[in-house]
Amino acid sequence: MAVRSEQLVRPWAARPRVRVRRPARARVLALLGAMLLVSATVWVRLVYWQVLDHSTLAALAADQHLVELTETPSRGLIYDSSGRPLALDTTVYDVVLAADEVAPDQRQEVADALSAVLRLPSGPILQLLRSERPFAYVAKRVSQPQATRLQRLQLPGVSLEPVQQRQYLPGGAPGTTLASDLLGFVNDAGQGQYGIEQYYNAVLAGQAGSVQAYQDSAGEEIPLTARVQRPMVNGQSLTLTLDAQIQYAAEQALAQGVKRNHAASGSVIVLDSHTGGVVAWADYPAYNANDFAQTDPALFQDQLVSSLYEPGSVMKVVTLAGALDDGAITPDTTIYDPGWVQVDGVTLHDWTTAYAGTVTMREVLEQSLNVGAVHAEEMEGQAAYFHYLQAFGLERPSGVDVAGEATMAMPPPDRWNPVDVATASFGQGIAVNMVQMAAAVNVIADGGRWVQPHVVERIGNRALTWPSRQVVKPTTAATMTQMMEDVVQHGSGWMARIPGFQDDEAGKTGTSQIPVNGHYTNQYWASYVGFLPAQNPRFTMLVVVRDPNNRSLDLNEGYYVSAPIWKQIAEQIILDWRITPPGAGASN
Amino acid sequence: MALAASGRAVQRLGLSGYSRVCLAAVGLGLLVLVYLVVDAQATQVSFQLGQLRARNAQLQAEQDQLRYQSAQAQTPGQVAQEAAALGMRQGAPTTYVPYRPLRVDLGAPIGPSRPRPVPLWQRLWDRIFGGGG
Repeated sequence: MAVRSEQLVRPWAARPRVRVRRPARARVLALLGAMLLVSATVWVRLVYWQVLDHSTLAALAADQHLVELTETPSRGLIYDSSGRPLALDTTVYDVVLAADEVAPDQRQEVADALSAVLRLPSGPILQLLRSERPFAYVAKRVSQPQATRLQRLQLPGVSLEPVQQRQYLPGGAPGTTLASDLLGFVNDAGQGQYGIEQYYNAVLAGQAGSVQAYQDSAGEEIPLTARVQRPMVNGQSLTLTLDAQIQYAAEQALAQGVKRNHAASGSVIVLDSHTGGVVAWADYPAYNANDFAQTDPALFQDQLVSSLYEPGSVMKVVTLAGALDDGAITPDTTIYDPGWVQVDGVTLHDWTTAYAGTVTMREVLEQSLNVGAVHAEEMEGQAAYFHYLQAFGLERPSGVDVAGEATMAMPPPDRWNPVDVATASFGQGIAVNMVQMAAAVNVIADGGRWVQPHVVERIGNRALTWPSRQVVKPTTAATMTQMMEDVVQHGSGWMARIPGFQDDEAGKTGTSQIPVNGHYTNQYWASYVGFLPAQNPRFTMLVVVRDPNNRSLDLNEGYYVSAPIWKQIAEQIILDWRITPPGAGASN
Repeated sequence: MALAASGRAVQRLGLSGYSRVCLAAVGLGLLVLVYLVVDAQATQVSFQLGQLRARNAQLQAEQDQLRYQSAQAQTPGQVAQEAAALGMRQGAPTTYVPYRPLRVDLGAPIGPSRPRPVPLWQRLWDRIFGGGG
């Protein structure tokens, strides 16, 4: 080791000493000083750039090289109970033009091509091309076949941006989409509006992700360099309790019924009697959810859940069931009905205003006598009556999983006067939504149990469970069912009789005046509610038609207007679900 | 350590200073070449990945479109329309008749009933004057 260092040192040692003259030495020193100064300046600048200004410069560089991309999740689909899609996404395209990239001599050719494919006038496109704007939309939401044609043309300055668009299927009425009021729609910003789309927007929409990647000189992402910043989560699909076949039949029957009766509108809700699942949910007029931008916004409001109505005599089911359960009456309890009753100085009349004489409670329901309902409420007492209103779910929202449920806040019992309670017993002066009313009558169909009406059965693969509670005794429900069967067999429900089921069908008609500015008018809500088969119910259906105009008071009643619609839909359900009456054989 | 070893190897080979510089340059050149090859491959893979993604998006869009068309074709309205176009008509609704229990005589002999014996005089009568079955 010592030898090697000696060898290394020796040549220097052997070098002859050079005598440096003073002026030369000064010059060398000056040069050295200058070099030191220059290098120091460079070093200081480097320290400034690399250390002090590092973060700013690094951010600027990252801005040039890195690109932050948003990954749009796919929206979950909506299926009916049999797995048939009701709402699904398709890809459409926005056509984008970079006018500054199109040479002046190519403008006419590009304008003509775009005009031919997009079926737009070429004038405005040419004007856009002459503007030399770097970015402009030529057309939005262009279909895939059109986009493919444009791609094949390879026009300079023209590019396509894919966009997801929600699509719905054709409905039962012309120019509408299936279950439009129930499903709602998705706006251009990807937000669910109304109905299921709004209520379950967070579940359906998923969560957008973000990816950071390097971009090349053309601004294109270099895929291999992508780093996930936030993972994307796709939306989950929903499986509804809805049956598309029944829904279609309900929409058709309702549209025909509303037109036949020259009515303003109509609504139908069909519930699975045991689960409370919504089988059909139709409004007429409905709208085309694929063309929501061109639709009158008034049509978006769902009549079933976002509007209130006075149920009329359908309410007698709740009144009499409560009185029966309380032990205040039996089906054979008699009352005297001269056609009117006086409550707190106010005279209330039967619908017919005719003398009925001594009648049983069974006949009160069959003939829909208001006086009988008032007597039943009075026998029961105000406190018990309110208890049953609450138990049947009429003083709080039904909780149905559809956006925009409207309910009337009922005043506490002590703030009601006797006349209000008396009119409420036959369904006037009390406003509920149709879902609440259908669920209340379904208590009788389901052996006295209130089940939460709901639309969604599963989110992804996860089955949902919904609350239920016992409201009246099963024996009360059975008695009430028999009384409702009598309504169909001997009373006002005769137009809903279905051959083969007439001995096993329960129903109740309802007709109520529509209040306008605090006064009742000559406009009516005509309704019919029923369930079938009465002894082992499969479905409960409520039909409400608003303001029928058959030029006769009698022909505007629920039995004439709504019962035939109910019957038409029920026959379709019987056919689709292969329901047979107990102890019957089928013959074609 | 590695440098010392390579230095010793160079010494053993007896390479001159010039050769050493050339060797280092070649080594450096090789490294640059490897880097360029890897970089070019990465660029190519990246490009192919981009192409595949675009193709995937297009196929996805086509699949969505086909799914929508399929769903449309299966809607009750479309089915009814197609059926009507094919000349089909909705059958009469099912009617239900009350069930009546059958009275079956389990003691009766199985099989077709035996023909009733016809007396000889009647057969002769039928042959002469006609009649019977």
